[in-house]
Amino acid sequence: MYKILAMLIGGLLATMVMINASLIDTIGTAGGLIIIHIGGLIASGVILLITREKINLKSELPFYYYISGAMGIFMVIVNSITFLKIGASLTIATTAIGQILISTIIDHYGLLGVNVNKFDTKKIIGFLFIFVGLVIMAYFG
Amino acid sequence: MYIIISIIAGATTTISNTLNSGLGKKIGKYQGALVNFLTGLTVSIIYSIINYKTLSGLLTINTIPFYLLLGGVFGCCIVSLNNFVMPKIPVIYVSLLVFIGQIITGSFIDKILFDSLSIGKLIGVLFISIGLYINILIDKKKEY
Repeated sequence: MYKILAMLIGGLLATMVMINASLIDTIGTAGGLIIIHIGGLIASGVILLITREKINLKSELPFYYYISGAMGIFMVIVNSITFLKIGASLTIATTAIGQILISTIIDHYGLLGVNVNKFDTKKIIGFLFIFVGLVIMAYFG
Repeated sequence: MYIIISIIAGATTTISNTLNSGLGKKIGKYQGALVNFLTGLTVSIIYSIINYKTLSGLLTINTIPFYLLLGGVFGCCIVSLNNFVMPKIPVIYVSLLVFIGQIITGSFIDKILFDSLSIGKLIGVLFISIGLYINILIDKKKEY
């Protein structure tokens, strides 16, 4: 049940990238970004009201927590461009690879307040599979 | 070229997710999401001021299909579902299952939208999934 839900999250993610890319393609990057964020702001406000999460917005939050919202802009723009240029599945695969690469680095050095988890050389086998898969997708796809 | 910037975007996603979960722990998950969209909106507005010429597209907003306006809502649903699922199954499986869900949907999108689903892509996906699974297994062993 929860496993199906986890796959559903993936389905929603792929659909979202498609919707955002089509939106930006139709009305331009600037307008698209504004619509996407207003939509998200309304939706998260509604959820906040439904779940009655205790409001405790602090003003003394470290600065870098605010960067992630700005990073979202970069992600939306790049995902939309690559979606239109190289298609959905290759965009998803490359994004996943970027994620696993950076998580390995973050874990190895314990960056961003994460516990240190040193790189296991056995993982090279996994990365080899991933790399071969990427090459096949990119050149024989 | 597109492949490289897409890999960088993936890396950014993880950094952003890591920061978000830190933020969520501090002020609550949905307030975290709210702060996120708020900063995102602020940056979008700054972006629009710099590239004000592309903003004229907003005038055609009433001519586009309604579902195109729902990207942000989708993002928010994903955050909520994530919060619901995360505590129930081991985190290491979540990422693999999410990837599988994404890639299945992505393949359908490619087939329907671009009519470009090939055997090569499917074989590539299989290899990537195996690689992800191997690394997840290695991580899992360490936890116990």
